[in-house]
Formats: sequence, structure tokens, C-alpha cells
Amino acid sequence: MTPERLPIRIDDGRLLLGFLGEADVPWLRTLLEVAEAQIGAPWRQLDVALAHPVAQHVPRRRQALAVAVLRRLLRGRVSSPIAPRKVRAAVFDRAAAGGKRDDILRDASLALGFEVAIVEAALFADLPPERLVTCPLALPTPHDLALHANLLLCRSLLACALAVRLQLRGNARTVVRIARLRGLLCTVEQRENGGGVVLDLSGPLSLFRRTTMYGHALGALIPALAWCDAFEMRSTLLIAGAPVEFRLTSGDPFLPASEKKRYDSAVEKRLARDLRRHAASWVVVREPEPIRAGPALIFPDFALAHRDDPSRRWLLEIVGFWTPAYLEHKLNTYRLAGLPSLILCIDERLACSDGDLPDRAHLVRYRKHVDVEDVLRILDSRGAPTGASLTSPTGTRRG
Amino acid sequence: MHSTGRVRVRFDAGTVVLDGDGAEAIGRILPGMLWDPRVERFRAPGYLWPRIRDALVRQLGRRPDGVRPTGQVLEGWTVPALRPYQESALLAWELAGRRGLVVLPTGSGKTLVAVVAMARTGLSTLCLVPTRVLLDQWIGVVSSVWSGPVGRLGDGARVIERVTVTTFESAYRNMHRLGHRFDLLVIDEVHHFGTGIRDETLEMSLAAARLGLSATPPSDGGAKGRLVDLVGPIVFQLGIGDLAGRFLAPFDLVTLRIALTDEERDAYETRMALFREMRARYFQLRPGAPWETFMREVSRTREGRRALNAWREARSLASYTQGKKAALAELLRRHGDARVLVFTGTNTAAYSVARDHLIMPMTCDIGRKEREDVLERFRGGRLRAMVSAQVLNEGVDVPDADVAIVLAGALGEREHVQRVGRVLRPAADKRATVYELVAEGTSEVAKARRRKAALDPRETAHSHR
Repeated sequence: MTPERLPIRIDDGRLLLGFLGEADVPWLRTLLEVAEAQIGAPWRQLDVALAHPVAQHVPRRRQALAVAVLRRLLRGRVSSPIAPRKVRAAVFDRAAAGGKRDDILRDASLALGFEVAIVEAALFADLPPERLVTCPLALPTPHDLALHANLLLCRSLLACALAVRLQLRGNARTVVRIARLRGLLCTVEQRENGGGVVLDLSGPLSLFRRTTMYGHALGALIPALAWCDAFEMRSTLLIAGAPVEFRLTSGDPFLPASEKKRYDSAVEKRLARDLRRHAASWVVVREPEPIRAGPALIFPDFALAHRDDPSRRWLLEIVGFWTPAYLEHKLNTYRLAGLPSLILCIDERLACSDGDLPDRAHLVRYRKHVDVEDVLRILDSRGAPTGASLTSPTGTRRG
Repeated sequence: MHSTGRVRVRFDAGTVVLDGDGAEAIGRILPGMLWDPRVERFRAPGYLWPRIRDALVRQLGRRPDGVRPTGQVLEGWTVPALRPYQESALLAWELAGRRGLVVLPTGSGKTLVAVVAMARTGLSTLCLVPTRVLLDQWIGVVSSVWSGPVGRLGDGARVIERVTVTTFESAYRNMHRLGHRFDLLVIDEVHHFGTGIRDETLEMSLAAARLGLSATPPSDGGAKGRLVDLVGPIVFQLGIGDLAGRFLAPFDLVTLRIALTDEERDAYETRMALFREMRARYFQLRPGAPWETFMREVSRTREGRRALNAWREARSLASYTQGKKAALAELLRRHGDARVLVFTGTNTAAYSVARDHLIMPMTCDIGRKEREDVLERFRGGRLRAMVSAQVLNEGVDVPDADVAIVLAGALGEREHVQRVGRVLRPAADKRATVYELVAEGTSEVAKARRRKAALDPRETAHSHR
């Protein structure tokens, strides 16, 4: 949703959010009843029903926000005994020969074997306004709807964000990982005495212009903030061409994220299982603490140490989309941190360019899943020790 | 990563980054490079790469390898013949250093100019097109003249080849990953860029050669200047008037003024009175305020929103009146043997026309396969008419339509020029007809006047060649 449609107020360059809350529950309940009554009716009827305030004194933008959430929860179903596309072909092809409308429809209905009324009703039955409203899951309670709406409010605002500063306590790793997966640049500052971590998030092009192109990526971080013990987010938004300050903190009433996934991907999950089964002589640590390498943070997926010879240590990372240059850069980053023993697992299907792969790299190519035997072959090749603790804390510089 | 002395240049998410021992010293003097404290490197937006590369050549005395393997020349093209004005357009683009906009009217073969540019340069090319419909069309055209595989990015597909066609939206979402893989950008309907929206797409590409295509380039200074920066200046321009009669079909423009019924007139005036009063009050307080500001500020009050809704309802009412419905029926009857395109202001109106007159609608709601099938049936003569609000406005290669009937427009003069172009594909003894149905005594009259002027500023006559 665009800012002009959101329940916000700008006061002296600061953004004041109209979070939905307890006071909104009565009209949210009415709104849900209105929507429920339209289940089975065409979407255009639902649109009409929700276009006006559902009760007296409902703020227009607050209702629009709740309606936007509802629209995402509801679906449309085509209800027609005959495929609309087939009907259109039959009717419009006949119309090309000329003739009166009624005659054309009668001819088409005879050819299709259905009554004229059914043919006419089927003509556009698959178009979005004509589809019937369905609700695959139960409608939320008014309180849940308010929380969903508040989350949408925050994400919509962050779509206009130029940059974000986050102060976090607990679970910074997840937030940073999501940020990096979304292509954001992230600088990290560790506060002393348990002050948590400060993350500055923006995108590469942000250096040159005020761009909101990373707004959606920044918005994707919001659900993950619920996994942190405490956070404060400050962001500069660009609304109607002017910068506006936006602040969000742990206590704000937006929907908590669903339970954190244990694994980022099925590939990682399977490799973890296979390493447990087949690498008995290795201590396997999944998601070791991030390691600082110059200004960057490194997030290996696994750390492995030999049980009998702890100097034999390896880090393993599963790579998403890649190019040879990207792999080279990644290897350099690990070398910068003094961590040369790295296994990179690269998905052959996700190569983004041609070219020679970097020399001296321990690469495991895979399709669909990583073969643990390939990993074990490298582990058993007695590579150089990493020189770094497998559980080195965030912010430790290795050289 | 490739070495340039001790300095290495790397593509990073739509930008170029300098690495290596000498990077800090040389980064300061390269054009567009800024120090990025987040990664402690010099960085520049991707589109400045050609200038940076040239500066590196001057500084280091040799050509840097660049940020990706040198593009090999693509072979396997069957170069189609060009008309003289298309040859001139291509030559102008070559002389401008393979950068710039070619402005030609709809139906005059802009795509062909681009395809021959791709063939003659042999560069790896990313073609950007505004819609999913055009994605299919461009892939079809390129595949017909190139023996290699053509990539598709958009509409659910992600196949990248040395020649790839993508939608604007997919290009925007993926250029940070692909920006270093192409040497030539072809941007269809390039007037969509230059206003800030999605301009980052072009900023993130390293391609030195850029060709923009349009029938209606932007006229305002800001967008024009931005396009010069991102694509290049206009290097060749012809209008409908330059080509109608020889390379485009001659056409007649017929404006029909249609009276409102008494009921429609009452409904129209009641709504417009509400709007006019609000407008007068506003401009009394803010004389000379821009229209966009008026719309934005008025919509902040309940009264203002009511006035704007009334205005929208009045426009909607005028866009498809009883009189227009009857006139459309008569025109369809009169041109029973011709292939007809009907243009409306909204999809809702297009569906109304489709129901009333049993004409196939072409809207964004119609799926890709059905759209292809419909165009094929229209081409083969099994369908004789289509109605559309926007899908047929731009670029779509509509086969051999003879008559356009414009019931209403939502996007102004540029849209009108494009719509007229839909029926100007030349054929032996063809003379196209464009009907414009205007609701008498409504705001449509002034709009029609502006549209006509935009169609060809040099001609005021209703008959073209």
C-alpha cells in the first residue's frame, strides 16, 4: 500500500503511526462479518461491500488497511459448468460472421450444449471480479486482524525506506542472514556491556542516490525482529519526496513472526542429517557464530572439527546464486579472516555466468542435494587448519 | 574478477567495486567512483562502467579486462532487409556511439531496427519490454532471425541466454544479478524510464551500447535529460505524418460528437457541479497550483474526496454513453468486413462493450495462451474485432487492423498516438479509419482536441496523406 493510503501522520519530519488496537476491535468484528457474508459471492460484490465504512466513524485509512489484509487472505474460485475460454471462443468466433446478439448466443449455446443463460454467465466467469470469494483458512479474530494490519503497515512504510539502523539484542544472526540473502549491505557494530548489536542496512546503490529500491528487502526483516529479545529500528523513509523518520521498537503491536525455521533450506537440512550419520569422527556445529572479516561478517552454515585432531577444522557454506567472481570474492573474504579451510557447496543449476572457477577452492558441486561423500573426501584430505575457533564470538577479528 | 595492474574491478549487485592494492589511489580519480565506507572500497553505479574502463585505460596505459569475460561476437543471425528510414535510424545510432533513442511511429518497424542492431553488432543483448504480452512477441521476432537460444526472464520464466528478453519488472528485480552479462541493452517503449520510477534498472547495467525505442518520447526536460544520461539522446526521429501514405497506411480521422441523453446529462452535470465548485474554491486560494497538487490536497478532506469521486463518476459516465453504444453498433455494422479495434478508458468499460457487442476483450485478465490464440484468430480472420483498455495500446503487433474506434482514453495524448498506430500497418490499397467518439458538452471535447494536435502537430487536417 502506498503511504497516502496508510493511517499515518507526519509531524515535523517524524512519522506517527496509527496502529490498530483494542479500540478498533468492534468495527473490525463488523468488517469480518461483512466479509464472511460475501463468501460465495462474486468479488465485485465484496468490493462494493467493503468500499464504504462498515460502521459509523471508522477512519477511512484504518479500514482500508484492514481490508487490504482481508483481501490477501481471501481467494477467488471460478464457478462455471463450462470453461469460460471455450465459451468465449465459441461466442466471439460466431459474432465475427455478423448477426444479432441473441442469435449468436443461441447458436453458441446449441453448439456448446448449454442453455443461453448459462453460456452468457460463463462468458467472463473466470475474470477476477466475477470469481467467487472463498476463504481457504479460517478468518482471523479481530485482534489478529489488527496485528496483521499493523505488520502490513510497517512493511508498506519500509517499502519507502532509504536505509535502516537496527539495534538488536539476541538473534542478530537471523536478521543479518535475511538481510544478506536479500542483497542488502550490512555493517555491524558490537556494543559493549551487553548493549547488543547495531546493524546499518542499505543497498549498494544507496551510496549514489536516495533510492527506495531496497525497501521491500528491508521490509522482509520485520517479521524476524520478533525473534530478537529486544530491538529498536530507525529508518529514513522517502514520502512524497521528503525524508521522514520512522521508529519501531520491541513493544510495538505488530504480528510476531511464525516460529523460526531450523533450517534455511531443504539442502541444508539434509546435509545436517547426513553429516550426523556419516561423519562420526567429526564434531559438527551448525550455524556457528558469525565471524568478522574486515568490514564484513561471515556466516558459515557448518563448522567441523576432527574429534581426535582438533587442529583439523573446516567451515562449510552452501551458496545460492553464484558466479566465479562471487566465489573468488567469498574465498578472499575467508582468507582475510584467516580462515582458509573452507568448503563451498555450489548448486550447478544456480550458476549466473560462465568462466573458470577459482583455483585452490574446495568446491562441492551438487544438484538437489549435497552428497555427503563429496564433503567427507575433502575433510579426509587433511587440509590446512583454519586457525580460528569454531565458536568464535561475533566481532572477533582474525588475522 | 579480472586484474588491472594491481587493481581489480568487480561487479557487485549493479555497481562496480575496486579491489586490490592500488584501488584507493586510483579510485579517487575515476569518474563517478565514491568511497563506500560500508565495505571500505571505491564503488560506482554500473552504468558508468564504460567511462571508468576508458579512464582506467588512460591511467594504466592498457585496456582493463573488465568485470566479465569479453563478450564474443554472436553469430547465426539472418539479417532482414531494412527500409531506407530504418537504415538511416540505425546509422544514426551507430554514429552516436551505439547510444541513443530511435523515435518512430507505431507500426513503422522499430523492433526490426533493434533486431538488426543486435545482428550487426553481434553483442550479447538484453531486451527490456514493458509487458508480458510483448515478452512473447519479442521472443518470437528474435527467434525468427537468430539461430541461437533466446532467453526469457519474466512471466514465470527465468532462462538467461546471451540474447534474453525480459519485462521491465523482472529486469528491475534481477538486474543486480545480471547487469554484467550483457553488452547491449535494447529498451522498448523507453519513455517509461526517465522519471525516477525503475530508473535503477538501467543504472545497474554495465552495457555500453544502449538503444531506446519509442513512438512518443518524453517532452519534459527532467525525464529527457535523465534518458540522455542513461540511454543517450534522440538520434533519429520521424512522426506519423512523415511516413503515412508510403511506409504507413494513409488514414482518415473522424471525430463523432455524440449527445448525452437527458438522464445522462442530468447525472453528468450534477456530478460535475460538485467537482467544479471544489475546483473553483481551491484555485481561488491557490491560483496556478499544479493539477497533481490539487488532486493530492483535495483528497485529504471528506468533502474533497466526494468531489473527486463525483468527477470520476462523471468521466466514467461520459466514456460509454447510450449514444456511444448505439454509434458503436452502427460502426461495427458498417465495417462488417473490416478488422476493428475498439479502445475504452477502463477494463470495466471494455467488458461492457464485450458483453453488449460480443467482441473479444483483450485485457490483462486474459491469460497468455488465450491472448496468443486470440491474436492468431484475429490474424486469420476468424475474429473480426477486439476491445481493449490498455493491452493493445503499446507495442503489440496487431495484425492488419483497418479500423480503430476510440470510445475513451485514460492516459492522454501519448496513448492516442499509440492507439492510432495500431491500424497503420501498410497493405496494398489500404486506407485506415480512426473514429473518435466524443461525448458532446463534456470534458472529452477538449481532450479530443489535444489528442488530435498530438497526433501530428504539423497537420491539422483530418485526412492524412
